[in-house]
Amino acid sequence: MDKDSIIKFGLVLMVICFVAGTALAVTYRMTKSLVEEQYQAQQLNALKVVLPQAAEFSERKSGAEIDYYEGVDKEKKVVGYAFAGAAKGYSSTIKVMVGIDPEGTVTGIKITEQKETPGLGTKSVEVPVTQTFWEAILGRGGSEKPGRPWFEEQFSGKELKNLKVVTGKTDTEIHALTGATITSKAVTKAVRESIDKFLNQLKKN
Amino acid sequence: MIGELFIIFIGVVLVNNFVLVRFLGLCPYIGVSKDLKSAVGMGIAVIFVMTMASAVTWLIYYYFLAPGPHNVWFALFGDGVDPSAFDFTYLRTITFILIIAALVQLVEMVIIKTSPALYHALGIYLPLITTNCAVLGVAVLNIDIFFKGGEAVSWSLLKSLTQGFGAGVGFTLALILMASIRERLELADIPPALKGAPIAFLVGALMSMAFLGFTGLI
Amino acid sequence: MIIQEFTKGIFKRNPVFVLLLGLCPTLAVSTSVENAIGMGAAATFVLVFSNILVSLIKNIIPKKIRIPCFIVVIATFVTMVELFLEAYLPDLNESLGLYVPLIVVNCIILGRAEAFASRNPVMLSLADGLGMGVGFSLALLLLGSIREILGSNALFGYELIPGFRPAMIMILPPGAFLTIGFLLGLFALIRSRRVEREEKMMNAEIALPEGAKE
Repeated sequence: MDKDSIIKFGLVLMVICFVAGTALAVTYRMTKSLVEEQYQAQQLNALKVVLPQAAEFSERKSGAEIDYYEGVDKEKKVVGYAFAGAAKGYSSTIKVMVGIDPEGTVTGIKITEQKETPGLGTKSVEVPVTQTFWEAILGRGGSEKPGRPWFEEQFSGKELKNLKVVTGKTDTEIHALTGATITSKAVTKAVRESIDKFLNQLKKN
Repeated sequence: MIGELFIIFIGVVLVNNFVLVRFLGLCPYIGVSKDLKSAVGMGIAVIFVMTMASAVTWLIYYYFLAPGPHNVWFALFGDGVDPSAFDFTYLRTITFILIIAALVQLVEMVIIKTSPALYHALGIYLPLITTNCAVLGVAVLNIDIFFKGGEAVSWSLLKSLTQGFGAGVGFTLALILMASIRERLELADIPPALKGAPIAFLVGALMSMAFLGFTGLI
Repeated sequence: MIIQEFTKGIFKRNPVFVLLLGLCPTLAVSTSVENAIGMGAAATFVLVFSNILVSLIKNIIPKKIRIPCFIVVIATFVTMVELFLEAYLPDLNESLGLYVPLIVVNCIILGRAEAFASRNPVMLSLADGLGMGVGFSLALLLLGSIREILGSNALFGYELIPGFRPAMIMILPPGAFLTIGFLLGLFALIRSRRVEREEKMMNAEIALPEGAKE
């Protein structure tokens, strides 16, 4: 290869990379605000799910141990707190949003991020489908209101001491997902530890 | 710390094996597993490139792409500007693939100059590695796991190196196991329709099932 | 001509089942029909646009550095897909995860750019890209539906047969290897049957005039 062609090749590659970079920068600018909006909407949705009794939510407040949101009702009275927790699951870090009332009882949880095994660990966020495939095609059956994953649902109304995973039938504790005990335990651990942290923080103040 | 690195290593070699659980690098897994000798050659080449790629992509990402005070562009032009404005993370994929391609070329040239014998053994596998998705896979995965919101987690570079090396070892392990089995399969009486790739996938299914047994390890 | 370039990618030269290309994403994201469709659409988008662009700039680019140039083009489109997914379909982006950036190293795309688009006019390259993309998507869809039906007794997330207990292994990694192994075996069987039949017909044709002579 002679010098001229090396310079020419370099120039061509540089031009192409420059054009590609510019195109991507434009796309990035276009989608950036949308991504942020999506994130905000997701956060708000998660807050609504974990603190159903609240009408409005405060901005994120930072604490010594854990950041939290306050949920207030129409009279601006604090009716609950929400905060995020995380624990290592089977194949990913599971993040949850937890809501409790001032007495410390769980009002709801929502798994906000997980990359568990499809079909096993992901059952933790799957909504039970009441329709079968055939009914769906024919447009029959099923309820209009989208349900909530039963695994998340069973945390609602539980107290801290009952947040334990058991594999058998249970009404007072947390029933593990079939074939995904590690995921079930991780979610429960994330919930329990974040509540622990928050209550400690509340006591100190 | 050592314990943490060890867990990452075991995790990526056995529990989340790149080939058998994450399905990365399947083309060479099927293509280069016909005899043991080439499997070993390919394996060593991949371990080498993956470890190098993990280090280089991490450095480039940290200093050139991720936003923050460590960003080189911020240090050069960031006078009075918020460091988060220098966010070039969207160039990750394009940068990484070019780095890997250049790296493979460089390794090839160095090996030709320094050790013709080694080149003879690895040479034909090196160009194949550029499009081996396991290499880009490990680079992207390092960034996914060992960066949190643009900031590196503690010991991030060392963890990335461990994961890169471990992923290469896991790939080699799967490749060597497969090649040994296929050498014996040559003599076995199997239905003609299943000869070649189909039986290789079926063997892969059994191996993958065996590797599922490592699940509870970490 | 254009139609021919389109259909060859679907059957005769199906990238997954015949050319054995793009296996990594095929096996990894075929756990459900939804993921399969998402991945197929993303890869088709990249294939079509990279084929068009490569065909447009094929005369400007020096031969010796064409591969790096193609890679840059492909990586650009892949990143665009990534950004779009993040903005409009965050859930799908989450479940495809790592495999979206890995479309870059999907051998189908670079293979078509090098083998077809860099030698053919724009319209043909478009048809070729679309055909290959559809072929890839159909393969993903086939694998995805088999695995979802057997592995979770469902299609599109809806239960299929009430009371049937699915074989969980099919949605785990071994299930992917099993499914593709048996599918490839099945196609090989069909192909060998067809070859046998054609040979028989050829033999019969050759035998007939010889018999007539005697």
